[in-house]
Amino acid sequence: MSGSSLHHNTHERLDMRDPRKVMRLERLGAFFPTRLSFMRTLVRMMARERWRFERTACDWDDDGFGHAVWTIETPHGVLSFVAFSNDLAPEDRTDRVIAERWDASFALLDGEASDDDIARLKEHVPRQEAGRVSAKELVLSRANKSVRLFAYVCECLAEGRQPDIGKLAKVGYLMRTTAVYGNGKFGLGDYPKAARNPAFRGPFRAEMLLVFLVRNFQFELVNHIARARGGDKAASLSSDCAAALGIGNSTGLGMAPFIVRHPILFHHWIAGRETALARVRGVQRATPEKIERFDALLARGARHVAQWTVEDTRQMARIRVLRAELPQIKARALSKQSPWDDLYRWSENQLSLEAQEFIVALLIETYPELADDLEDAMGISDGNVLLRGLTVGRLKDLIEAHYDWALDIAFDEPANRQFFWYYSEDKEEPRLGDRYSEPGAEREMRLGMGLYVSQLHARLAKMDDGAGLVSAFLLREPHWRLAVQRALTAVRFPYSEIRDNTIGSELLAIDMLRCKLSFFGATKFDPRSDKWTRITMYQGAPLIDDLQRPDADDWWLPVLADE
Amino acid sequence: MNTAFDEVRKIAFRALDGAGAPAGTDEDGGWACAWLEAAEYPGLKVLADRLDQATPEHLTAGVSEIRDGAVDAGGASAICLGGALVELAAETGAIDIRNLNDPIYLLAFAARQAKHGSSMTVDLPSEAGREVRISPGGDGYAELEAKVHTAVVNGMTADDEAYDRVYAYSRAILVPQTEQSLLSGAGAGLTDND
Repeated sequence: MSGSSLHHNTHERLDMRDPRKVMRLERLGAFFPTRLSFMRTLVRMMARERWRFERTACDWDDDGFGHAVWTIETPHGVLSFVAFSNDLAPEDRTDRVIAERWDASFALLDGEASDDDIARLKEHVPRQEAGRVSAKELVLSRANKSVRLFAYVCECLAEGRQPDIGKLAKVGYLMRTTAVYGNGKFGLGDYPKAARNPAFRGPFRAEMLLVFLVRNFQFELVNHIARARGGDKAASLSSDCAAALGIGNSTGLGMAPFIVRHPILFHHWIAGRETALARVRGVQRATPEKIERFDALLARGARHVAQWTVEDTRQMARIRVLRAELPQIKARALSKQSPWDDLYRWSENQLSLEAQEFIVALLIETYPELADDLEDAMGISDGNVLLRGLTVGRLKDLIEAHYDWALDIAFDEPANRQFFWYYSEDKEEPRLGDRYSEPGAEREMRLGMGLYVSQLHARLAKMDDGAGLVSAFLLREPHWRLAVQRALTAVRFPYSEIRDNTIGSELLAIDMLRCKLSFFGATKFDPRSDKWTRITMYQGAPLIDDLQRPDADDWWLPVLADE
Repeated sequence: MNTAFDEVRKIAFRALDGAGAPAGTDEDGGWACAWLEAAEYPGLKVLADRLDQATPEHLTAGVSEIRDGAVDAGGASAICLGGALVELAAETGAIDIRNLNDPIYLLAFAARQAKHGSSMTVDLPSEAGREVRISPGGDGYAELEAKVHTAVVNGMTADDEAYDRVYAYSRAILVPQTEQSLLSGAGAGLTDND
């Protein structure tokens, strides 16, 4: 779609990448975090607005069990972070969402946490899904300690020494979250309530803030336990060690339905990223300073990739190819005219998808001034797709023009309908089943948009009256409503739809997970299967006390201590 | 009970989905249910009553007749068809609708249409009647929108019994666990502990 202006919020004429290319699952599954990722934009905002964090209550015993409260002062009002920690029996420890007990649980509140609030939350927050919270709470979460690191770090600090930083960097976290809930769940405040606060107008801002605060919580907790055990000889975790630690997260299929069910929001995420790329590719000449910055970021990224090792054979093979390709990027001479566009075009012809998307993130990182204003539009989820006199014949034409990828799929072949998405009775965990060998397909989530629009097209093709209104058609045949809405959404928001079969035998749901997690800003993507991944959040990010440092925003693909 | 707009929307959507409402109309109906509750109308009770009575045809059937500004809904429910009825009126002008169940749901869809630039007025029938007129004009239900806004900001209260009834219907979308689904459905195996 050369020359099209696909970003909703700009009158620029930009050479955006074609949605037919961008929205393929294999490419989405190669995305890297960028400076527009939500953790990055939150950290920049906290630094810019000089947020202040203070622990205002703490009732921990010597083992760190009890509760603590942090108060966060922002220009937009006060927030509170309440954390509960308790003893967890080994037999109760599971990082699946189906767990019922955790080492720690958390809530982020709009306003100050009163004693009554804390007493109320103490009854409900540790129970998570089984409890009830109020509209004052914006986010609810829980985390478990890393069996590999938590006790080890406490022991080292209690003995007055720092833990091995290489070991810290390799694991990447002291605690791992297993769910972060927002937007009305269990009685939490709705997203529009949170978004009244300008701090939370970006996507998942409140959730990202909670995770940032959990990261700080784990540092204060190990320091407390070490002091209780070691007394005067105890050490506090050094800032170097702390910087090497983020928050772990293990995540499954819950990520995937979101990006299918929120097409307009998803469009704006992708469009923001693509607009930033198009702007950088539009730079006619690179200054020496920019070339120097590009080289430095490329070198850092290469070291980051060198430290990125996973057990998953598919992902590890891709990482190995990427490692081999990065020197080719470094070796390639930049053209004087349109150097970044030239580099990107070369990568499309010569390099793997991983390397192409690495370059995309690298170019965006090199030009903050061309990217950072785009974050404001990435939280937009509204947009009407009114019918306004649309006829049946015109709708059929639009589907052929914008949904052609789905019309090319032979959905009458069983393999192209192999999977069905569903919620399990077991804590409503999202799962993927085989339509032909497992029960439950009649209760599937409606995520096979390609199938539905393809079926709609077949129905429209059989209609005699192409001049009839779609609104009347939908009254007579209401079961086409979802398909009509999706087709029209894709016309107006071209990056809204994954342009692959999301129910076919070739589906790798892990690609959907990586795409969404890249927008969060997660690193160390570590698939444990084709439906499940571990990640690390905020590894290498500034600590609370470092937010005002000049380099506080410079943590794209961080390089940690030598492992 | 204290609840949230999106929580009500979600259980209503799932209840409709589980009852066989056409894809897309379940999302519309779920949203409209939450909107009515936030506007202090009994969206959940009306939905629960409909689900108690509904055969699949009640939810899936389209209208039987559309002619010259008149629609015979044939007993269909505005929970599922309300969005399309309001859209038709926005395109073609006033429409008179016969045999429409749960017409109160039209208020939510008319308010939504106003946000999209076309204010519509719904003349609801007397208590027992099922004839409704939707016509252009009005203030987009500004007063009700203000109530909805307040509910979203402060949280909302729903009737416990109605909530529980709809919640029970929402469980119909859940698939009973099998050993295979536990092991491989989520991709994590039995544990992914650290």
